[in-house]
Amino acid sequence: MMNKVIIADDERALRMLIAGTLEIGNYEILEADNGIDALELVKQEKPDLIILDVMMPGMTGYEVCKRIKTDSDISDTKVLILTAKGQQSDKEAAWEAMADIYLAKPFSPMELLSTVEEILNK
Amino acid sequence: MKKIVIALILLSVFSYSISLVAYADGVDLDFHKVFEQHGSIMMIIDPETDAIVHVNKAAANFYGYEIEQLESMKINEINILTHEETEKEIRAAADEKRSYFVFKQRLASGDIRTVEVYAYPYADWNKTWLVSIIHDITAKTELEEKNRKMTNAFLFVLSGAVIFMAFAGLLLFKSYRKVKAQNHEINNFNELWRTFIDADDSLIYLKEENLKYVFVNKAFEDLYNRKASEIVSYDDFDLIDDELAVVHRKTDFDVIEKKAIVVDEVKWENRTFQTTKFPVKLLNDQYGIGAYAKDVTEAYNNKRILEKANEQLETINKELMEKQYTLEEQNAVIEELNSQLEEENFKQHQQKEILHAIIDSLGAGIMMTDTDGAILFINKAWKDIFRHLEFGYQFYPQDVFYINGVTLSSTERIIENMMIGIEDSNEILSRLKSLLTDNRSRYSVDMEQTNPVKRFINLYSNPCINQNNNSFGRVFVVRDVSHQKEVDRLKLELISTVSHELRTPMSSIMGFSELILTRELSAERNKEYIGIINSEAKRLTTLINDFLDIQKMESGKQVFNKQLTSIDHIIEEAVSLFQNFSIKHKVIYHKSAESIPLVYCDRDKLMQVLSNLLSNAIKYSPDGGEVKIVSEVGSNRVKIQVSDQGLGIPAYVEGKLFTKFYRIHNDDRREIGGTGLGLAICKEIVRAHGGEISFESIIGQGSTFSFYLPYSKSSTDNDSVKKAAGDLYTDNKDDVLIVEDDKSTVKLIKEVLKDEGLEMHAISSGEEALQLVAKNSYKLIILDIALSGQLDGWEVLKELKGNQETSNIPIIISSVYENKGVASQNDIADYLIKPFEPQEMVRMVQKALKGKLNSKMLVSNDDVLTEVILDMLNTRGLTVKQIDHSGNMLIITLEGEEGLKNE
Repeated sequence: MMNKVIIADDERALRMLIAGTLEIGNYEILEADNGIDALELVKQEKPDLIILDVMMPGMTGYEVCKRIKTDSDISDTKVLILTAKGQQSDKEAAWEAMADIYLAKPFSPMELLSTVEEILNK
Repeated sequence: MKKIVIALILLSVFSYSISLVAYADGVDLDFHKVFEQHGSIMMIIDPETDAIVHVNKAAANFYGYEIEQLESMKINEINILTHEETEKEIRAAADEKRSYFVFKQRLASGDIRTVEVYAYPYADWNKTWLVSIIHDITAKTELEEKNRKMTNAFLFVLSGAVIFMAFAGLLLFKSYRKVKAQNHEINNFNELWRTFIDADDSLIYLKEENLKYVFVNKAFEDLYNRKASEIVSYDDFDLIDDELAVVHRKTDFDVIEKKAIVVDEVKWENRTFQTTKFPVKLLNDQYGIGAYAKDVTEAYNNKRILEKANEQLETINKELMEKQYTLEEQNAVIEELNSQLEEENFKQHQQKEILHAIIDSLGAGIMMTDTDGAILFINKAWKDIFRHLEFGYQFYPQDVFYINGVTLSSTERIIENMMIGIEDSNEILSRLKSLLTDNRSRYSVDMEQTNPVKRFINLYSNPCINQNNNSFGRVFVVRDVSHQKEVDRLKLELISTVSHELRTPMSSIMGFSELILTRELSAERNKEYIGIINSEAKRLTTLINDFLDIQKMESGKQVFNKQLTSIDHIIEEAVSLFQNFSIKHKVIYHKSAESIPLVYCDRDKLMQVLSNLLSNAIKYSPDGGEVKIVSEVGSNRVKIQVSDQGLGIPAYVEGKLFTKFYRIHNDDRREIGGTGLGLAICKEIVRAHGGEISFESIIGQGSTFSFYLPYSKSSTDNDSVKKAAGDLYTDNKDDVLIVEDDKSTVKLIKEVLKDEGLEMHAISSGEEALQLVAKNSYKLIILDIALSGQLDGWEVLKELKGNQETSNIPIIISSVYENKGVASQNDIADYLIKPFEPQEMVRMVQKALKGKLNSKMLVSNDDVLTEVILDMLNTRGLTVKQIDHSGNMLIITLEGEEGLKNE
């Protein structure tokens, strides 16, 4: 079965990079460029995984994550938070938002790929 | 002195008396003379009739009457006291047991004198007479009066005998006169004087030349308890012990041999005798010794007592004085101590004042409590920090520093009030309360207050420990740390923003390059990824440059190369640069004034401002439209507006828009890239030129950014400015300065270097060259040695290399002869020997500029083509310096690159 993955990032280049990275896997990829759209898309599409950027217009990645995890309809969605920040406080914020995993930018596409595979295989 | 005078008087009295005694035996005694010549004022009064019976010469002199006159007067004609007053004085004398009366008497001249009258009653055969000796005491001062009284007893004792003698003499004389007058015969004259002499208490005796007694009086007989008949023919050795007799004999010889009066004092059987011995001519013509010995034991004792009393008095006086002295000393010490204390007090007061002033001037709020938790003082800052609370005024007035009479409970209430509106205050409050009576613990807490003011407060409290390690109170310090918190927050935000801004393009670069490296990609995909990597890398570069720029500007390290520059030119240049930037946008320059004054500004930086504003205007009007630049000339400033018809700016961002890294995030803008630094840079540049930048916007309709630059009036007239600059005015477009006096050489150099895209300026004198170099920034100087002015090329070279600001400009020496030694010594870029090959010079110039050369492109004036080229230049990171129109061609001058000629 093909896993459905949403990529939410306001940077087009990054969405391209993530999509390109996941290209070799068996994923159905959907994109959103802001937090609000991303949340809507999750509700509609009920993806297996959402890769969330933190600094997004409309709604931050943490907020989107929190909403997903507190909405019983979609709380099963795995959340991978990608943030450009790399500080302890952000890591904590990611865990607080109940994200499944946290990856700091700049990231290695291979690492991202293996992380995504790991989460979805569990 | 007085005593001496009295002694003299007495002595004279004695002599008279003694002569009386001595001559009494058969000699006609002149009693009248004795009485009359006596120095004391003497008067004999009949107490029954008050008649003055007899007076002496001294009395006559004193009262100013003749003796006869006085003797016919009554005493109350002289005494001016009334009968009652006289009675009173007599009673007072009796009460005080004194032997004299004080009366007031009138003299012939009418003067009133106060006199002391010593009156001695003397009984005659049938009558009592009153003998008065009078002393004038009018002139006596009060002090003398006291003295007199003190010596009175002494005086009285001494004078007693004298008066008696005189009196006796007088009476004898009187009797004699009376006898004479009345023809009354007195047969037993010897008997009479003998009676008087015997009546005397003093020892009176006469010795022959052989020092045997020939006569002694009754007192003498009584003293020795022998009959006079026994004593006569004795000498002293028969009467008294040998030792005393020797003393007597010695004085006796003195008297006889020297015919002198000798007065001595002899102690005999516990009594003291004052003996006056005088020579007496005897009937046999020999000299014997007359003597009058007065028992002065009483007087002596009195004198001794007096002396002793005096001594004691003196001792007491001395002691008193000493005491007074020590008292004075003590006083001085006390005064000194007092002044020290005062000084100490003053110092302490001053220190207290200083302390007060210092504590009050501190920015942190300070409250001190004593060991019982009562407030000692509260400083101004504390009151300011809690000024929203009215709690304090019931305990202390607003302007009072030292607080009195505050108890622990009121301190607790003050603290409770302080905690109003503080988050989670319960725990802090109980801790603070416990601290009030705790003299060891330290405490520090950060508090967030939400009501009535929103702020962060840091409070700490330490015990005050003195040198002996004892606590004498506690100090509480509060600080409003809101600003600090805000700064911390901004710092954190900046770091996370920068980190975000850097990591985002980094993510793309690393990610895509990794994909390229690790995967087999189609050529198309490969190129796409490389393109992304490239543009993200450029984005990163721009970001870093912008970031460095703003850092430099904000820290004031940015050097602005300001010149008097035509704003008009810059605007035109900027407009032409963006004219063909986008097909959807139309960039228009609207000039409101005929001539725009020159502005003292950094041309490149101002260009940056205009570029940022124009590119923003284009970026944030994604649907295209008109981008308009308007310049307006005010009285002292030039205003430039850049307006668009784009998205507009929401009102809430006002105040944040020019903050670095601030970007408006909303759907419309999501695809519009940027670092959030452009406007911040604009603001810094405009400010550095003394101007301000602002914006107005209606959301959905567009935004207008305006900034103004001040100009000085004198620069309004271009020509005058040019003249003022001494014809050396340039627009600072020139890259190369040719210092050469040969016009054909200048022409040749210009011709050769024209193709290198260099702007050149030629000057013929060294002086002018130096001025130009000081005002402009040249990339290269070509310097001839032989010049038209005073300075030659070497001197110009020395000047340029010696100046720090110009020493870095590469210089090519052009000369007809070679002198490479000088060249190498002076850090010369190269040495061009005339005549030179054009290619040789181009090579030298290129080498000297090391890529600082500008490139020029000739492009046909076609919108589409121009846009493509500009786009291409932009993506290659090339900066367009200038675009000139030449017929239907565009000449694009590029900065710092030479390699584009081939394309």
